[in-house]
Amino acid sequence: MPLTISEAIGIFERAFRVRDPNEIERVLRENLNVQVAVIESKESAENRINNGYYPLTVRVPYWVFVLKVKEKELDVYSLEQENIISEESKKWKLEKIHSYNEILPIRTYFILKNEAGYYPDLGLTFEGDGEVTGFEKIEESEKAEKFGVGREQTWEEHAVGTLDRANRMLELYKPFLIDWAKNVFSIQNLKEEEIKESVDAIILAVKIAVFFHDIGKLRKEWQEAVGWRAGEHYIARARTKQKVPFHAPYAYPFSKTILRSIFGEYRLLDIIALATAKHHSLEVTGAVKKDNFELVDDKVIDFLSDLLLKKFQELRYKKKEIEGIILHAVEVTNKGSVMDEPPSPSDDLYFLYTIANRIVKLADWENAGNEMIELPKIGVK
Amino acid sequence: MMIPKIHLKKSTYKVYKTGLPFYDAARLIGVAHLFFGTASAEIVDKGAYWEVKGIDVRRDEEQIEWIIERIRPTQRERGLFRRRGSFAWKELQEYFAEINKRGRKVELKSEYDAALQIGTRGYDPLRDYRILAPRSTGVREKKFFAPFQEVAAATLGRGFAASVISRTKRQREEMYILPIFSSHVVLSGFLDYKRFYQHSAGGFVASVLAAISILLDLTSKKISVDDFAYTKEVKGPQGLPISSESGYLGFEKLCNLWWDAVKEEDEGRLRILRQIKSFLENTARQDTYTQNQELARQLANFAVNLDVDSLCKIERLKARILASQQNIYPALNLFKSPKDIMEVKEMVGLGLPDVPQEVSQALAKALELDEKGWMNQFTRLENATDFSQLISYVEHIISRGYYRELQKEEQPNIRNAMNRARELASILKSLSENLADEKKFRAWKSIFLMDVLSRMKFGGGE
Repeated sequence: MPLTISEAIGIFERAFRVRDPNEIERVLRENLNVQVAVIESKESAENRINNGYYPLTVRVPYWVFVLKVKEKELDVYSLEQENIISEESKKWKLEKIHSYNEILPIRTYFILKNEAGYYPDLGLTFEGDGEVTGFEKIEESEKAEKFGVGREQTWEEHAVGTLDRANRMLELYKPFLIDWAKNVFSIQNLKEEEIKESVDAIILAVKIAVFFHDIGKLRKEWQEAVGWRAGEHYIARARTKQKVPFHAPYAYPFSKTILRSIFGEYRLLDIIALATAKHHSLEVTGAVKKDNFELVDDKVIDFLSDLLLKKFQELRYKKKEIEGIILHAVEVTNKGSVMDEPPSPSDDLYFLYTIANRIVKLADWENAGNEMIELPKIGVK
Repeated sequence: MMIPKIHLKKSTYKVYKTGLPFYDAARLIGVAHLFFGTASAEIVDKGAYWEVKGIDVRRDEEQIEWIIERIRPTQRERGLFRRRGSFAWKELQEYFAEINKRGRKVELKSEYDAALQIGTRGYDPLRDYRILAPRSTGVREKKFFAPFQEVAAATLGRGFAASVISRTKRQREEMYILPIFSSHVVLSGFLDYKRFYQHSAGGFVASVLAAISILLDLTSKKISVDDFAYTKEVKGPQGLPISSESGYLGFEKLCNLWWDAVKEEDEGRLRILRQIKSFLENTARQDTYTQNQELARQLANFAVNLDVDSLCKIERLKARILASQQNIYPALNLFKSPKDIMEVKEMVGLGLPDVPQEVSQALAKALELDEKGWMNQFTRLENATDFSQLISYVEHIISRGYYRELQKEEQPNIRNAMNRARELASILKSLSENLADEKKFRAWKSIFLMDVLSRMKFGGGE
């Protein structure tokens, strides 16, 4: 069975995280694997994960693992997210797998210490008691964003800071985007300059989407939840954020409308907006409820228009025009939106989706943790 | 500095509906794949036609030919895509973009939809009575024609159809099905799902297995499916045609159930669909034990109708398969935990009260203690005609179970056992008001008994 593109990207992502090129080599040798973490108990593992630790795993050939689970009737768990009450309160839990049929390659599974027979020198023996594989601390910058322990920032500081980080990354990715566009749109017989200008437009669209990635935080409900008071700067990151409402999904209808107003009716703009809305969780679908986008006060439109024109000088709009575009996006977002689907891995636009999603996510983490994560040794001046 | 412009060209194509569901579905999927196969095709139902639009991307002729090869095409079908030695992009594009609608007409055979066959089942059979029986009258002039571009799109679309086969000694049923998408979807990338299905319990079960499987395969793509279109031919031992039909499978309830689960990311509901699929897959072989085949039929019925009658039969069949201790594993893994049963209860959607866990647990334990006679006791529970009768049976079984348990102690106290059973029965009594309705009672009883089964331990050889 060949690897799918998404699995291959997953493997590269893992290799990047563990900073070990052998990671890819190992996968290529044993094409189908699962990652197995050996844990003391379900509850203790859930506690560690929810406290910011990642499980250490051992790699087991897929068919071996399936066979052992079937033979020994092992209790196997997979990591799932609990029903989310609010974005910052989401918790991970271990769900028992009901049948070995549910086990899939390249995924991570958890088995109990007393059934795994795991020893660091012997590996998994699946015979009786043994040791646990352990946990490692999650990266500080990722933790900063995910668990809200980063620095405090106003909405403007965070939007501009994230945009700056994204600008650097997009410079790195630009040649790849040009090459991709040349290949995918070759049928259109575009001139070299037209391809380049189209890529510039796509890059600008990603930047605008990054700028608006936290637009949901300008909702009245969100600002009030973090203790904003009239006259103060709008808040983007507060140290005390308990049970704050969702913010990420609003980036989809809002950015989609903004981007379509600026660049025209292109499906690829929806994909960029959707990738942006998924900057915290891939479970965000882009669906938002009707009449649920009340801005914190009536100065937001003015604030956003000024900031947008200041940061994007290529947008040669008059203040009134840009205000009109933003107001329209607010109205559309208030009408609610239905779920949209990301492009499938066999879609030519999937590359754009993964790039956009990666950039907004990492730019967000980098800005929150105030450190460089994405290819730090390249392009540093 | 100016705002950079996106120079990418977009195209819009139209697929007009004919009213023949399978032929229409095949052409729609065919056109989407033909022009946007490895990109995003936005499909909007405009009433009389579908609009298929997206950014023009480079298409791979070999990939299209590879899909057509799936249906083992004739030379004529291969030829539909070629003009003077090269791929007929221009003719196909101009036709569906309504720039140039000209194109030679080619014959449209029953492979594209059973309604297109010559004879009594054609869609306008009364023009000449002799055509109704071409085999005896020899009049065969009734043929359907369509522009080659339409037939080419339908041919490509057929390459995506799932094949559903059912065989018996006397006949072979061959069905092809295609998903019908909702009024506005984006087909992104290659449409991929498992495409070959068969089942020992008949064509209907095989079609439900195919539908569930396709839906689950489309879960990650998040494309809303409303129903399935099919075309079917039944042949006798020598390959002689017996009957044929086409239309919609009518699985809207199943599709809605699945789509709601996808939208709400309801993992519990998707798990139940996976369990149903897994049971049907595990019982697909011809040598499947008959009770498992019957359970497969009832399960297929339940999956598409969510009806109480099928639910009751599922419970009865499952209990008997487990009691027989033969080939129990497919049934054992079906609705196997109290959490699953709870999900099934919600799927039935009658507003049934939850099963009191302590009662169910106590009853399961009491039945387990009666190793040889548990099925007799269980049958009494199944046959209870109303809720009060069920409660009294439950109380009786639990009190006997407790007493058996107490017998292990030195001085068993029967009064204690009866009191504990009475306490549990009173919990059940509090549900009486909700279960006065006969249908609700039958549904709840089945849910309750399946919950009890899920708490009992079973073993048995294959």
